[in-house]
Amino acid sequence: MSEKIHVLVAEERLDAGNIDVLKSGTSELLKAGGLGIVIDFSNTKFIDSIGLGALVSILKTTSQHEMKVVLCSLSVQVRQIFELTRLYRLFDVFDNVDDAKASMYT
Amino acid sequence: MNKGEQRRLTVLSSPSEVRLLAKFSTDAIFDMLSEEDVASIELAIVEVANNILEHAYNFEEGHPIQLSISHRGDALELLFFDKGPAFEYSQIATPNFAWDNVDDIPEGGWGVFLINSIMDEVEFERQGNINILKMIKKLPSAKIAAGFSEIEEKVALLQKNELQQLRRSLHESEETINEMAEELSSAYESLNLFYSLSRDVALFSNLNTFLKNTLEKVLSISGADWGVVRLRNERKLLVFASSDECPEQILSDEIAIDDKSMIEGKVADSLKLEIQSSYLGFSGRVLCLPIVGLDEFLGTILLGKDDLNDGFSSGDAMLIRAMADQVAVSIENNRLYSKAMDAELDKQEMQRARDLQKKLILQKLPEMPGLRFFSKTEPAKQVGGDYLTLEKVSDSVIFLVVCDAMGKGMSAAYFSLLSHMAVHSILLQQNGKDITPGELLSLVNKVMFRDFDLFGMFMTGFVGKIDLDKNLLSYASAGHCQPILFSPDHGVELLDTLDFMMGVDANIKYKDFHVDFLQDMKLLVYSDGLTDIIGTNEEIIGLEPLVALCEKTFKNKDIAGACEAIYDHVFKISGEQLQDDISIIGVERVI
Repeated sequence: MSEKIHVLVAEERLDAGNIDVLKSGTSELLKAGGLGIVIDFSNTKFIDSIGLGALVSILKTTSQHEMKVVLCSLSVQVRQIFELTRLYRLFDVFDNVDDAKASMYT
Repeated sequence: MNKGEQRRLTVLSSPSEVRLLAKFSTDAIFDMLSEEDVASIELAIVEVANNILEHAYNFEEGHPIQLSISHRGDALELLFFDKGPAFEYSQIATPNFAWDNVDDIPEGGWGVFLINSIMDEVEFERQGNINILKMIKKLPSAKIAAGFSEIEEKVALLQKNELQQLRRSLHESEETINEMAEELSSAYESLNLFYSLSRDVALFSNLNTFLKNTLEKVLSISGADWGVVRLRNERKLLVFASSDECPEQILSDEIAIDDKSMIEGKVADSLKLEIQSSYLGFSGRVLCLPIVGLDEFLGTILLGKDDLNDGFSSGDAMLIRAMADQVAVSIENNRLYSKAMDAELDKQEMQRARDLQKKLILQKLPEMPGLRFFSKTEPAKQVGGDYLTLEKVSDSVIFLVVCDAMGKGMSAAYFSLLSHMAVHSILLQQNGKDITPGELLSLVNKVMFRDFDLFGMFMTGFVGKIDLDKNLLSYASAGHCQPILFSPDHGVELLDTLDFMMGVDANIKYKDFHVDFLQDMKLLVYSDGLTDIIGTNEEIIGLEPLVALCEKTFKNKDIAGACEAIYDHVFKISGEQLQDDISIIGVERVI
């Protein structure tokens, strides 16, 4: 099995307008296979509940493919919505890409 | 945004326009709140807009969404308007947090939960065919103020408890006074005075006279040389009655209630019957008694003797204490009396306002060969926010106007009056024959816009213009409930325009629509009091039953008969009690 870890840099805004881009991006990576996907939010300033729903859906599909998905570099706003919806317990969240990648090997 | 400022943006339903709304809102509020709060409000705004996209417009693009943001000083007020079907926010379930495995986690439905978590208040309202979602976010300073007022309330409660205790001990003293009455068998005169005081309570409606009288009696019972009665006005104790011999320094001794220790000192010391007069800066003996009403500190009675060796007896104190209670009762009565008086005066004023409004609205029906009219308006409260008029501008052209200002009561009535002025003066000024209904509505909105804005008021309105020479009914609507047009050939149809209510955008241009208005056709224009009724089984009556009713009655009855039948029916299903103002204009073409 491939040891590859994919890093997907999320866009500045994740909402109804562009959430399909993230979804298709991850499904391509799932096809490619590997240990898992790190979704890097360092550029992302805003995410709404539609974006959040997509992340939940991505999490479900990756686990079906026996791959991991972890998040990193969350901004204030992104962190906030995870806390409000109590979904932070669902995702593994890291401060930066390196920590996120390192977690894949454990 | 500055205090009092309001910003508005209307976008069309699409994800990219929702981003515009988000940007518009963060630009408006970025300097008012912390980064976190701005981010969360942006989230709430996007969630509301997403809901409108999905639920109001079913993902159809190109429908209007309007957001208004107002800085209300202590809070941010956000108003969303859309034109979709009613969407009841309160009925949305909280998402399931209790999932056990990943597959149970919902992938949507967080929107309303997020909005409610972020905002301090969320209120949904439907006005005509417009959905209004009002959200309030308190600003940090308001939160601090709310904290302060909570502390203040707690302090007040503590004070209240202390006073209640005091009052309890005063009640106990009343029992003692009965025993004392026997002991004081030698003091018949004093007792007579005391009873006469009780009687005075009923006699004097003038508080000053009563207190003066009371003080005289208290002085004669206690043998005090001087006395003063102070009553509390907000945070100060004001002298209401004093005897001539009262020392100057006592009268000039302004006591602010804020000086809690002072009052407490006096009240507490009064329980010990006497306070040291040196406290007040002169030689002699002083007795201070609180006047305590229902849970409230109302004032003090202060008595003094010049002779240091001649103190007040416990009997004096008990008796005077009972008198202080009587004074308290009298003050309470006085208050109740003026309250009742004010209420009666208010009622009479309201009646006058109602008469005035009726005169303005219910003028004589115009006469026009070929047309028959009906008009009726009933406010649910004494004055209402509906306005209707029929204005004949030439032998063959007549305008019919119905406006419905949001809410009921005086403020709505004020706007009803303003719309009367606006409609009337525009029709006079412009040559009524040439102006279209859309132009009239646009002008009314423009003329009144400052007032709408100032009061946060909205108004729906419908204008119809019947031109007999052209056989034409032109109309325009500002978010008003759809009038019903009947023709013998086609039955009933609803005149729907898709324009917004007045008070939203100063420069809105209302569109004109045209239909034939031929012989035997009938038109019913009304306010939503006729449709938005809660029936006896809690059901909302709505538009469909009215349409069905019109279909039936318009076939068989003339316009007046049909309108009366419709009104009677609605009145009956409302439980014979109007729930909202009802206004009806009916027109029938007979030739």
